[in-house]
Amino acid sequence: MKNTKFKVLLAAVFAAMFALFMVACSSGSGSASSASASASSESASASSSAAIENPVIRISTTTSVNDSGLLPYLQPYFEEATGYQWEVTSAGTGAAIKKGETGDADALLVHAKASEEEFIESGYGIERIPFMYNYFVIVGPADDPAGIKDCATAAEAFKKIADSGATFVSRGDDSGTNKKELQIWEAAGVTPEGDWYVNAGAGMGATLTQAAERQGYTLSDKGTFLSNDAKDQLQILLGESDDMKNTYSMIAINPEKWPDTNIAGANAFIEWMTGEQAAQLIAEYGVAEYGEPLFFLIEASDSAASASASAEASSASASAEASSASASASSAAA
Amino acid sequence: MSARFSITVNSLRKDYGKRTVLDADGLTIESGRAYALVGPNGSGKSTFLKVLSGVMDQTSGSVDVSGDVERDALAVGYMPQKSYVFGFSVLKNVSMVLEDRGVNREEAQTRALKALSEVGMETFAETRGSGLSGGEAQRVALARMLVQDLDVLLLDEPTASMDIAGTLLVEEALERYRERTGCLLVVATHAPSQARRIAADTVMLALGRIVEFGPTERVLSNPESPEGQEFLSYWSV
Amino acid sequence: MKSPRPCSVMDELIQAFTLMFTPGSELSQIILLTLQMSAFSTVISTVIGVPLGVCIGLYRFPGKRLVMRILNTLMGLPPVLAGLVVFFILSRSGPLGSLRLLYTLPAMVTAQVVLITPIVCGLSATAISSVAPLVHETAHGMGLTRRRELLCLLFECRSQLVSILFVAFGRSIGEVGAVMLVGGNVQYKTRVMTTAIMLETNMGHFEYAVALGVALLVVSFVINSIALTLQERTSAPEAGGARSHTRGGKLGGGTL
Repeated sequence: MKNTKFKVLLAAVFAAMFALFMVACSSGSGSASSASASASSESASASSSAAIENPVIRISTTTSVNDSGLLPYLQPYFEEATGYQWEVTSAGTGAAIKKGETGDADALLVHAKASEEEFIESGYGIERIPFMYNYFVIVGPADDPAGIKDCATAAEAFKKIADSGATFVSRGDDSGTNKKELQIWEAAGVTPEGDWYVNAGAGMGATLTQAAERQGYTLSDKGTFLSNDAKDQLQILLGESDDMKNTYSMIAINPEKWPDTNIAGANAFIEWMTGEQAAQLIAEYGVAEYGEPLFFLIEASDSAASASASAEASSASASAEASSASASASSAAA
Repeated sequence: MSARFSITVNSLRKDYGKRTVLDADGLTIESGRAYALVGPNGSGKSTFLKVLSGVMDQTSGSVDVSGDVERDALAVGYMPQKSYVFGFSVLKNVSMVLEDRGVNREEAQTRALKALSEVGMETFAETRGSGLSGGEAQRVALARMLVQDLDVLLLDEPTASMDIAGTLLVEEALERYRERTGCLLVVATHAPSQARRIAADTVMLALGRIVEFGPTERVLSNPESPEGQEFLSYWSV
Repeated sequence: MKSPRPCSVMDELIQAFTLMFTPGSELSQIILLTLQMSAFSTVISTVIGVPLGVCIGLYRFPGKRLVMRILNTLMGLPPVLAGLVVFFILSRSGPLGSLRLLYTLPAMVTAQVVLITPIVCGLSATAISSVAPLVHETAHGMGLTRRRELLCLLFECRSQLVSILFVAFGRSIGEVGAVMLVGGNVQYKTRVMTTAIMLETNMGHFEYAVALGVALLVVSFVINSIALTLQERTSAPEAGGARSHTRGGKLGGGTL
């Protein structure tokens, strides 16, 4: 009697588990199919999806890009316009680029110029296409103990922080932001070490949380800071100075290294992202929520110039970047 | 040492949930005597001994003591069917019983060795309890009883895992112990032959009730109750 | 970034082991901190969890089944959740924020104790309750004191209790979510093996991360081996206790 009851119970548990499993599977595929269905139904200008061999593009990006919410925002428009779907994985800059080396991505969307150039040089990527930028910001406690508010440059601000002995939380994870931070320290002529300098070894979000808890300073990209709860306990003390520009680039993975990669998809991604529609969408992104855009486009002509230049010499692209930056900075200010 | 007393069981009942496993009434047993407790599996022998020993509380009824000793002053030893011999040395297993009563370690060990030799286990004194065979473990468990001065000794199938030589040795030790201490001895057993050897009187349980009580020979050869007749019919095969 | 040339895990492993045994290197400091954290967490959760587990396993009380169910649920507590709870308590705005414990070793130990104590408690309750009735029958029949009975019970469960200790230590040394949250992975302060592995992975140093993982396993193996050798040498509990009356147990069945 008791035994049969137990068996029935056991069977019920297994049945429930199986049902859960099936539901999970079908809901997963269901959302995918509904997404593509909505894309095709709404699209008047959808390109011939029948010609697409492999509709899935694997995009590897950094946590800061992912945290800003830009890609999920663009995704439905992109999929509607091109018929491709993208799968975004995010990690620290090092790991994000590594996925390109190991053939686990079709395109990269990152912001660490030196690493990107090294990546191209090693032949893993075809070319580096800078297409948008934003500014890093120095955030810190509202009472600003180091008094950096009125500094002209980030280097000056960093010098003051180091001199005052106020806490500075570094990401310490070799990310694009971390590299930028180290450049600024170098420019400031300070070797960051000591008890005031906290090497958090973490992503942007966790680093901001730690800076908020410690009431210390840190360098963040603006998008992540604005979307993080730490903004209630920290303030932007310095932003948009010339030495805090953050340029984002796309890189298609070289199919000669990894024949399996979806080069057609990667090119479609890059083409769309540098196109008219994306330009408009990116310029609008964040305005409604934060009252200002989070990202700025590099002018199309400049980006084309830098793209062609980068194939020959990376220094050329850098100067193109710089000019485009000042151009759009002034246009944004106007 | 040998206090004279008797124990009377009144409407002693034990329920496990809705199932009544023991419902014993009107039994009086006396000090200085040995009783065998027989009955088929599930007849309530173990439960009866557990309730008597106090390791388990009854559902209702009482166990009363009369004689020249207070019930709370009675020293009761109980050896469960699956007696645990602890993983440390056999000697320690026995001597700690005395140490717990304030006997100093040296004397406790001397007396423990003596008790062990009573059951033929003195050569195992330094063996770890976890390395013993079933029969050896039962003999050690018994030595832990015999080392004490008990008024009541309740044993649940104490020789179940022993060979015949060990069984006879233990039975003789029990007999000597009872004569020496004048204790009340109750031994649950499944073997009528053992009941005949060690006990003048036998209690027979069936389905938790006392169906026979009297001189062992009479109960085992001439049971009055139908349950008793049925139980013994299996033994006469 | 490390050089993009594919370097073998073996090379990184050799490098990691060289660093491990270099006094003053960051890796040896990380290993030391990891061991410190795990040892503290294990000891504290054992000191709290084992007595609690023994009590739960030993005594029958109303609501015991509910307590066991809650314990079993807590045994599966997601580390991140434990970390989050401790984070909120220790954060600047939390009730214990003034202690300034966040991002320190005590914070990591606290989170791990929250995580591990239910495991230690639940496992020891199960271990104890499986032998407690048998031991109780025997001990009661022998007329042992409660104190001696408890010692004997613990002695009988000793190998299980020691393996529970290993489980606790293993859980502690290999845990990453809670430690990351409340420790903050701060270099030289709260960076332990697992968070270092996370960091190296995020930095794209996959081979070095694997090497660190192997180093962690080797450390665990050595610790376990030492502890097991010690366990084999455990001996009988040497504790006696006098009691007022000098004869056997009491006759039962008296409660009406």
